[in-house]
Amino acid sequence: MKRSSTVRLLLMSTAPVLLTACEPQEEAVLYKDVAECVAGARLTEDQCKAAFDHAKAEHERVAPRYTSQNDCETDFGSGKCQAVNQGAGIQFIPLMAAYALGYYAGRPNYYQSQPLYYSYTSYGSSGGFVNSGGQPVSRSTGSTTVSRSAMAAPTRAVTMSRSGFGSSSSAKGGWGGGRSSGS
Amino acid sequence: MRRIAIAERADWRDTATRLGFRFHTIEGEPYWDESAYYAFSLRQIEDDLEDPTAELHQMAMDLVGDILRSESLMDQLAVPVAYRDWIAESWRRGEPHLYGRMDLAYAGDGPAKLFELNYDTPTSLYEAAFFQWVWLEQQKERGLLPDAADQYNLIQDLLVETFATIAPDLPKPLYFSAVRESVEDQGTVAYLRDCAEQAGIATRGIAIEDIGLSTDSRFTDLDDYVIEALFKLYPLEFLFAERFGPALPRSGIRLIEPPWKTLLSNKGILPLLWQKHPGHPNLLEAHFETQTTPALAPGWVRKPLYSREGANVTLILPDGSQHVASGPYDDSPWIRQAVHPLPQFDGNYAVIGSWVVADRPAGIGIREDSTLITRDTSRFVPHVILD
Repeated sequence: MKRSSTVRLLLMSTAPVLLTACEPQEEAVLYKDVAECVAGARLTEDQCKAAFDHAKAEHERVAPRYTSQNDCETDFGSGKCQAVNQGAGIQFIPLMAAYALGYYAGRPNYYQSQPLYYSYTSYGSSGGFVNSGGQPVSRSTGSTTVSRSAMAAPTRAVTMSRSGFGSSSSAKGGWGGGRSSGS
Repeated sequence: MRRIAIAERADWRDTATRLGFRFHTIEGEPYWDESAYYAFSLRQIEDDLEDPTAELHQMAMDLVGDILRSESLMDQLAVPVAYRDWIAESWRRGEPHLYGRMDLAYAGDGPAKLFELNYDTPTSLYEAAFFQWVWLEQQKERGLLPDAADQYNLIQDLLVETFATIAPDLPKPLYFSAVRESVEDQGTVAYLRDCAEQAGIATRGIAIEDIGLSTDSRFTDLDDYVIEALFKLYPLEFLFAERFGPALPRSGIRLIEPPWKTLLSNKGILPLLWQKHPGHPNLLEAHFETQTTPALAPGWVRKPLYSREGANVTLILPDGSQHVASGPYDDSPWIRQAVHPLPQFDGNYAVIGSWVVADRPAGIGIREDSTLITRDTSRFVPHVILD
């Protein structure tokens, strides 16, 4: 046969079929603080501290943000949110509750550790740790297995401008009904 | 290769709606056309289309290194100087490409002739990979086509497989982007995004116009998350020329198609292929236009280096009759290509879009137009293999 044996759609069709994602899984370890990391005896104290410092430094930049303290506390618990102002007005972000580092091919990736937040809404009725993109990582600290993308948490940046792309299409769009930028 | 009339599926518009095909009719004009189909023999598909596609693709890929080593070739292709290092770096790092479509003139016998490579922003993908497949399956179920009817169409299998292959190296999520108002482009990226999800890749969508630029030169989505990997159904040369373009090389963004693909979607690749493989049976003679090139003679076509959907193409047939498609792409240098009129079937000029996914020939889609120059008003007609 010279064609695909099956074709399917997940998102485009009105009745999506659910598939299990086959993304590679890797080991990750979650620690509440440096002391728990040192007690785990997998990293030296210096590595534990370097990993913590990196996560802490990333925390304010990447944490999920809310415009209302109430919404933030609904997700992360009463008294577990802090106010920040990074040029976009007062926003609320959860406190960093733990940090995680991935083990890629068995080696600890402690210089790319990331902050975690304890969410009460991402795991059904009980709580668990989520990354800065809100993606569940593990219910408790210690060793776990996560999809690789969960450990590559999205980073945030301060956007200064939009609409810097797309102008050629409108400039050339008068032709042929402006159907497509493709070919 | 024959064109055969067949009854339309009475419910095909409902099926299209259910399956997310929103651009089967564009501005009241039919685009998806199943009132006929093309029938090929397996030999025609394998010997005359699949094998030459693989060979032409390899010949084109072999040119990338040649071009990157030569400033004068980059000048000839009008590659913007500010992006040359970035383009070269994307090739040196082996940034993977996903797909391309080469347009071939083929009448059922003799060698297929390469018209051009659409290697940056090819469309008509969903129709070829998915809806054409569904059409065949349903027409067989309903007894209008024999059970033995097959199709040259591994496109979706190979797209999903390629996404899975490149996934481990790709920052997630992978963003999919096209011009907001283009139903056709939005449909094409929705389909590609679906294929990526099937391969287990987390995806997001954003309109090209909504992409933001941060204080530290990163591209951002509407929630200020950094876009680290972007599939863009938007010409690389447009990105280069627009306001955010200069931020691309230092943004760290991974693009699909990657920057080096701009070299192969450039019509200048046609004269370069001819220079390296003069007389190749699947190539048409082609040259760069220079200041001393005489006026267009009968038997030649004139195309801009950068153009889409047949725009700004001028063609003079051997009998002296001239055919012109107007358009906006009049701001780049030109190439000349020997005329090879498209074959006509029942009054329709048919061009074969032969798909390449990663580096493998993957299938075909056929578009018909009422004129010699295939434009964005063409109709997509399905095909079968039937010996």
